[in-house]
Amino acid sequence: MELTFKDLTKRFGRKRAVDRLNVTLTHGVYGLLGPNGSGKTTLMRMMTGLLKPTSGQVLYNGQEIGRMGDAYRAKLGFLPQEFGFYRGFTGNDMLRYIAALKGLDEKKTEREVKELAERVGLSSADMGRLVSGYSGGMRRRLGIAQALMDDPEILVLDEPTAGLDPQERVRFRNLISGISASRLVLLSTHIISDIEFIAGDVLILRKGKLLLQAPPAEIIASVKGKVWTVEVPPEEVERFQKTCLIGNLRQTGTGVELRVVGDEATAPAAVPAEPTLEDVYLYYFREASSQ
Amino acid sequence: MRRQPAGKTGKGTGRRLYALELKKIFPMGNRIAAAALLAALFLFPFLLRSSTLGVYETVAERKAMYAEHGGEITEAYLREAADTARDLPDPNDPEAWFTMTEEDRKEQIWLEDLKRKLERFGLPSYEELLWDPERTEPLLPEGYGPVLYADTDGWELYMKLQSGIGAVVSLVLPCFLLSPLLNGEVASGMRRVILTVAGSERKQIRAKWCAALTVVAGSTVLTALLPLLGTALCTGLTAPGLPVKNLGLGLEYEWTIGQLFLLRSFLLFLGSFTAAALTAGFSGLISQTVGSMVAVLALFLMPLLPLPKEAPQWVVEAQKFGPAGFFTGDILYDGSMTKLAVFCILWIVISIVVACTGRIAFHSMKIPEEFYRN
Repeated sequence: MELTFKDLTKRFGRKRAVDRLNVTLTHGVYGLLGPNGSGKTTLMRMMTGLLKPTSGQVLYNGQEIGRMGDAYRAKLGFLPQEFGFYRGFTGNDMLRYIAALKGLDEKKTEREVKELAERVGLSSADMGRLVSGYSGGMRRRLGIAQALMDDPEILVLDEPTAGLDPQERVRFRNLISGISASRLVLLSTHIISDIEFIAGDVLILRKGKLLLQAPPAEIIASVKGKVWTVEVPPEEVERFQKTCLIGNLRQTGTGVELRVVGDEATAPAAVPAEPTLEDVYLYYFREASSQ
Repeated sequence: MRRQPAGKTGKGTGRRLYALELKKIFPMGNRIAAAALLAALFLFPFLLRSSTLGVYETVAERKAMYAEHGGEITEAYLREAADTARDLPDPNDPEAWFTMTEEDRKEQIWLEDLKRKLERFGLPSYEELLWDPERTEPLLPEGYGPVLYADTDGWELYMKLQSGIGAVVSLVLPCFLLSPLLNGEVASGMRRVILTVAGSERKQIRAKWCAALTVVAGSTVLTALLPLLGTALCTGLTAPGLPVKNLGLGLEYEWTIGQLFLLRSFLLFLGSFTAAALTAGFSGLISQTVGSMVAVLALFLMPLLPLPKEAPQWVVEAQKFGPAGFFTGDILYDGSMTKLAVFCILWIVISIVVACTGRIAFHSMKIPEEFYRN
């Protein structure tokens, strides 16, 4: 299975939300990173067929997805950023509704509902409750369950871990890792650690253009030697914040330890540090971070 | 060109979607509101009973009165009424009312009821014979068909309810329940999910239409039957086979009261259907859930606005052709079955076109989600 973005462009008026994107995705988990307005959501909408490209194509195994229509959508599972619920529906009702829309028969529906609820950690008591009474994290888990209904080949998840507590996020990561072998998972998130742990490849978008595509380790290696730690007296912190990109601040007994991201060491005492994906994000989106 | 498959359709998916669409339409709040409206419809006959019966008599007394005085209204019948009235104390004297015998009181009630019915039938009152005892020319117009003095209290009360509160419920209930039919999917954040599921628009819209039709049929049947049941329990509904003339509605058709009931109920159904289809259509064209309901109610209520006296005739006629005509009965009482048929077909076609346009717009990728959010 292969999904290709070929010269993919989407313009809204004069603004190019996605600008001549050329990427090929196969099996595995792809993390989509970029600040707000970088084109992530637009790209996901074009990939799910919700938006038509201004020019260029999205190809599934060489076929244009618009032409494939339902044949392509039958392979999709999608969790939008704002996944809601129907008033008066229980968790079971929501999943049964999606199952019916996907055309699953009754037997398969009941089996899938039970399995998916277990997978995302919703008990049968939870599933029998009205979704309006769910916490944000529970709703998100239900959203993930509906996206996984009928075992889709392509899974598009927009901010799937927003609102999940750390334990739920670990469960989600394990779930995605477990199912990614035979399918394509594209997930966008602001929680970089999610991508760092599970993504086979990371796509970094800036102003609608693909800045980088590589496995997390390679991307992290690209900023090796550009991350430093330096301990400064507390009164110096403000000066550093004005002149450097600070990734982290930590109080020590003797001062403040700053994690600085930049091409050069900002102080003679600065010590090179092991970079993380978060440092990569900060490094490549310096302008966005400073705004 | 080869057609692409429209997604899977497992056994029973349509039925399950339909049941869940109905559940969407009836969350707890809506169920309570609908039940309260329908309960009110059932209880209204008990509240309005006095408007038909008068305050002094009971149902049993009136039934006895109809048993004693029932019959065709003829010249002889009116002369007998005038003779009886002559022998009774003056009904305008409050003292006399409290001192008259039980027998006289019953006769007085009969005469009052007869007077009211003659007025409704557009016939002169027997009282003209009291003022002019020597009168020899007939009171009833020549060729006036047979009209019975009979127990139609229940039907009169029911027709009042059907064209009043029943019509309001038949209109408001589908508008209220179906206003979020399409744009509610955006409010619930599900439109994007639905648009990415193979063949889901078709499956979903079929289920939605079926659920909406159920609401229309259910609300029509209940708004027709509940006041009917209430009226039957508190007043009785005798003689559905009487000619419709006996209701004094000015209808010239050779129908029975039962047939009129069925026809009016059918018109309520069509009115309710029109309101539902327009609401469903607008809910795909208007971003706000309340907006679709307000738009339809405005359309229905506009023809009820009073027109200035100098309004041209075509405006008066056009106003009758507004969709409110389903509920007011103006077109039915106008006397032309052709006009009634044209009216019904016109509005059914308009409402179906609006519903289909709304559905196409809602499921079109050309209309972005943001449209429904603004």
